[in-house]
Amino acid sequence: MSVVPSHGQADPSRPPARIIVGTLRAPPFVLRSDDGQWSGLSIDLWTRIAAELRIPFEFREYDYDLSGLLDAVERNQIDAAIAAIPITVEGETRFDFSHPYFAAGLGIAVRAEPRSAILGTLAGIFNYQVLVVIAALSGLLLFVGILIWLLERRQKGHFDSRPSLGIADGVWWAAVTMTSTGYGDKVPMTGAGRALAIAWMFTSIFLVAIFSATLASSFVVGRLKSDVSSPADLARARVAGVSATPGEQWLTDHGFAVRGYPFVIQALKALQRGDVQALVYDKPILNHMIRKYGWRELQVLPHTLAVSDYAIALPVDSPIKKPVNRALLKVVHRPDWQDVVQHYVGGTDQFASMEKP
Amino acid sequence: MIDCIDAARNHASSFPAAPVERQWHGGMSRLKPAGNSGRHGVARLACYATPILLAVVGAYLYVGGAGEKSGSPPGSVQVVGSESMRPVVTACAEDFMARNPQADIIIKGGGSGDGVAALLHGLVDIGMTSRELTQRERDYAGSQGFEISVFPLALDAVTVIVNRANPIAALSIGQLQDIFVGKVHNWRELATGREDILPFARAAGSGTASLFGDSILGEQPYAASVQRLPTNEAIVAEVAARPGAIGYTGLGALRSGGDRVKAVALGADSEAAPVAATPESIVSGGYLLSRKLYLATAGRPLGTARAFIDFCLSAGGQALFQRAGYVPVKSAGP
Repeated sequence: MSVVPSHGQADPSRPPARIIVGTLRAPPFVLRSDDGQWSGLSIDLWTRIAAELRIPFEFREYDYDLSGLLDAVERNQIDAAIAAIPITVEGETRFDFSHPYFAAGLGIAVRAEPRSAILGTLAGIFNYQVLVVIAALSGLLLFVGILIWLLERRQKGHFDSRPSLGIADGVWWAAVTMTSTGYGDKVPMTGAGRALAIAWMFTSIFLVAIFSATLASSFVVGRLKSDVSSPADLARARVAGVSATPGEQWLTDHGFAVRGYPFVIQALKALQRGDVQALVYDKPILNHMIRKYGWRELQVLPHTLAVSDYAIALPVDSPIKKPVNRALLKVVHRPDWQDVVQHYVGGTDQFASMEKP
Repeated sequence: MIDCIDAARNHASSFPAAPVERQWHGGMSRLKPAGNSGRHGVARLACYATPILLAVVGAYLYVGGAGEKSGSPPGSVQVVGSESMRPVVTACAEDFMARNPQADIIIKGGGSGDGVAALLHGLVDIGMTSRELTQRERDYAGSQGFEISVFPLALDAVTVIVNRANPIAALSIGQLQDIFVGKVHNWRELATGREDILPFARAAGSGTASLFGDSILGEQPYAASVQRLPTNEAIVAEVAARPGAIGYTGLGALRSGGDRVKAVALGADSEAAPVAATPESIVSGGYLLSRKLYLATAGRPLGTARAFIDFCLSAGGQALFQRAGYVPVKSAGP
């Protein structure tokens, strides 16, 4: 394609003219602004390695095409690939890896509505069922109120003979009776009115019971979480993985049925929609995306299922492998490297950086 | 709230007066529409009715909300259709959502036929099709009171592929037809080897299959020996694995075969110079099986669907098409 150095005969002391480094967006390891500026933890690492080795280089973009990037390394079309590439057996058979530079934990993202204690409980109570019951009760109150007024309107004293006032009196009486409050300020005088009153009193017992039961069950359901809260719950949940990633591999290896999604945002969207209940993927990337996009209904569980090491992929017998490895170790052991890690990934996700699992 | 309190207070203060009023008007109270305590009565009824109304309105809103939820989630855009287009449009969707985290683009394959049918029946927001719409489809849309808008995104070529072990470099339309209708069964008959020919084709409903059928087979049916597969990737994988295989695919799946498959140049007849699928021959139309890839919407697209189509046509989206192996429509001119 373009400038590919003559591999095999390069002299380590005189590195090739301009090498091509393939990469693809994998925040926070590789980020690219709209004007084409690359940044991120992996990019920063490579820039420092290249500065150490004084190799001029250029990035070639393979966004959303991890297999294309890895094919290019395998076929020696690029001199190195750096992104969030985990060291895998399958990869090792196709190309070489540098030393690992970051240990990423495999995490579980789940959907969990964040609820403040009081508002959350209230929101949980007023669900569809409860509202329907309240609406039905209210309708019934109005109905009984009108009925009692129709029966009692000709009697002096308790129920006003004018419709507006009288029905209001009737509703008031029906409510007082239903809740067995029984103020006695409105009392039916006719026989029919009293018959209605007795029927209403006993009907009310059942109605109040139904209402209480609905309310009680909505309390319980409101507090229940159908989400996955630990790795043990994965077995009976719909679990997503991103195709050809360590997360999907881990799920398959452990005998879980995986719903594969081509990319991580699409998997996260499926989680938001509730199509799946959990997503197993690289923790630092999950944390970064959820934080960056403000998806507060998603959270990453504290558990770490496994650890995968990110490394630079190099073609087999790459002449720059040795110098890159040496420079990589130098860079990550400098004191300021921890600041870089902290800057991009944050303290919580800095899972045993440079430490073997 | 203030009305309620006022009404209650007024009512309380006017209570002693009420019996007097009643005496005055007696049985004629129903004829007194605008009386003082009549207004209070309405207010009082309103007070009692307020919680009832609130509950009813709340329940209604909740039912309304639940109804919406059972369909597609709010803000999501459903895209269904061409299997050839699915991988590249999926990448576009990922890029689009990375820029618009509130958007939710759901991509499903199934074939161009499925995509157009779903669009015509209002089941999806955007259809993906790798073939032109038929007049019947346009008429159906017209009968439903809308027009289909199509947005060409890229140029593609249905590429005939063979295993890399196969020495053949070019085929004429006639030879290709003979292979797929079952007139020739061994590569020996085409003087290029001795393997049995294993033809692979796409299943019905595929836009790729319909272009191949229309241009190569004409009216003739596929031979029984032709295996029909659901995706281009499946065809590429089979051809990569079997020395005697031949199949066809859009450009997007070609890369997945690496160097284990090779594209065959096509000649209009045995005399004409065979033409390979290159960006130039695809744009000029010199390659016989070139086509366009479209997104289609019912009427003018709006909101997120519009923004997504615009993204596919932007430099960023077109770059994804180019890297997937297609010829961006922006570079192809009008």
